[in-house]
Amino acid sequence: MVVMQKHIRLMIGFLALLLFTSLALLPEATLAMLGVFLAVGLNLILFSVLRPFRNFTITRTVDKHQLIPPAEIKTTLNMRYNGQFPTNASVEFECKSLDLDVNTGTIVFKPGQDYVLTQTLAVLRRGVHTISNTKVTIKDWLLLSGKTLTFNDAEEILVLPHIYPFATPPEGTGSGVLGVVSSTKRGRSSEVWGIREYQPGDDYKVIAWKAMAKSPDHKPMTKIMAGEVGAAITVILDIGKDGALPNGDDTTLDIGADIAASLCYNFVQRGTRTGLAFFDNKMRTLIRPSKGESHIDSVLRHLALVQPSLDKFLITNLSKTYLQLSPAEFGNSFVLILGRLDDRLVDSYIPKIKTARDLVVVIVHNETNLERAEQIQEAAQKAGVTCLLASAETVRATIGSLERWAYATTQRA
Amino acid sequence: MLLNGTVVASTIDFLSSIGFVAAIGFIVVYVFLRRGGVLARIKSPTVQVSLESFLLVAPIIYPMFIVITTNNPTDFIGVFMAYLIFGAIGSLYEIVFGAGVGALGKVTYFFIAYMLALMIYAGSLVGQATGAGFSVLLAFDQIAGVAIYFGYEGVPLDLPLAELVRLSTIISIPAITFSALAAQVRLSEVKDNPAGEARMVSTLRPTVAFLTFGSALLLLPALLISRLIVEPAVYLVTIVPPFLVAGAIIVVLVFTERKQ
Repeated sequence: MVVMQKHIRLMIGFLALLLFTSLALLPEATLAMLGVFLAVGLNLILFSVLRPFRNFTITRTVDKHQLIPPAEIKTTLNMRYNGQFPTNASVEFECKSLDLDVNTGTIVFKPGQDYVLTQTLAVLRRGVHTISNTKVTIKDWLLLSGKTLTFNDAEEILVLPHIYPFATPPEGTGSGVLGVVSSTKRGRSSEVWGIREYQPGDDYKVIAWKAMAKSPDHKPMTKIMAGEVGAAITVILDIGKDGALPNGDDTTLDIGADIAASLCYNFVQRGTRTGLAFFDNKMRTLIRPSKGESHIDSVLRHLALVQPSLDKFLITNLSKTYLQLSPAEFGNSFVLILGRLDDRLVDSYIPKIKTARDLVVVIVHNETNLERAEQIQEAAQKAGVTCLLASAETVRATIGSLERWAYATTQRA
Repeated sequence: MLLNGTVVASTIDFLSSIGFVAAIGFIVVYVFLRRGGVLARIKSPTVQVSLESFLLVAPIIYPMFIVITTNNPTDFIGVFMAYLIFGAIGSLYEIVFGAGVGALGKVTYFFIAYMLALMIYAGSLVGQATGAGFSVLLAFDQIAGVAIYFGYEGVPLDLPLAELVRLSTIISIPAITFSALAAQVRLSEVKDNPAGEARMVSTLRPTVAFLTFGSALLLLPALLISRLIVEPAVYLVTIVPPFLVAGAIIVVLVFTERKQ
């Protein structure tokens, strides 16, 4: 259906009225009609001739393009109109995923004047958020017709997963978790990078007497020294369909991505070679263990972008696939972050995976499947597998437990 | 015009007629029910339409009956005049206070108010002269216009003070234009942003004034053409000059928009 433009409809209406008054032989009324008709026509002609839409300069800036939530981003819109007469225009852009909708409404722009519009918004969810092109709709003085200019300035904002730092801060590059340390230092040095409970076989020289005295039950503690050698670690994240389940204000996959990001970041910061795998019914993405800033950047980008797949996570497939990951390259320690809990095979397959590799399982649950998560945890612990529960409320505590697990599994040289 | 002596005298003549009182009463009831939202609250559309139609048409039923049975048109003319007066007052109200009325609406109401006022004045004048109170036929003749060329034997009156009325109307044309344009800005703004505060009218006042001045200048060619044809074809004065000027504006507009 052809929709007639507003100004054409109005002009036709005026012509019809003009015809009525003319035929009624009412000269005064005819002149009044003609006067308004001419004013409207003049307005449209001047708009076409003066072309105020050619005199707009719009610059939009976003202060951050990559950030870790919770954070705020500030968008600044600088507008300048260089025409000869005032003009009416509205400026708009949006980012649906961030609930950003900027629309100035129709405002009058005066020649040579600068207009600045600043908008600050809170960013809470990971992902890629696209801010649309800026659209400027310039209207004639009676707001009847208009022309829309689209500026090609769409931008993407990468919001990384939330990263929870380990309680023990890294004391420099090469600090060791899971025994992996700086590539430049091998063998034990005098630098202390972590403290854990005493384990049989630990040298008495590394007993941390002060930490032991400070601990409430005076359990023996030992220091983890720089230079102790260990293997890499690989984090496997379940990106199956169940990742879309709501979990607090986020989804199960969001929580899983936060945990994976926190582990990878903290491990890499301490010099541990860390890999990342996305798995549903097969291996979707595999980032080989490495370290360094570019590696952690790649890992975090993947975790920012990952979305729940259309397939369910199958632990039976994982139990076969992960065996293809060589211990030399991917290490002997795996962290499995699991979101699918309705699969009854999980209980029996976790111990099977444990037999081949050192495994810790993190079950991401919400309020509705807490009971099932506890069942899996119980079954895993019976089989001697460390199994932690995590939800939107307990994710920080889970990271603390994983930190302790990481120190506890450090292999002595 | 509604307040001049002739009109007031005619109105007073009809004040006592049953038709006039009944019509005023029904119209007041209708306006009261409509403003109070009573009619809108009726759920059945059929009932709503029937009730509205009854309230609007009922005043004419009784005088029609009287005309048919007694040939006495007094009540009929009373009702007719009540409608005219209410129509004129309503149109004037919309011109001045009508929220949500754009340029087209403003000039349409102006046109209606002007025609009704003309009819009331002419009808009352002749009615007073003949002692009938109001002449429906002569009232209609004032707006019959082109019907006269097709054989209708209308008698447009040269009303007293007509020159004064004509002059004041011509002077008020820029004011009508200005108010219509301002109303259009307000209406467009409200339509574009219903939730926002309408503030463009005050900001764009100089621009609207500029357009009003421009349109007044563009009326000059119509005036010149009128003077040229007034001698050979006076009956075309209200048709040819305005359409020539309006046509020229349309041609320029189409040309500039295509170029754009």
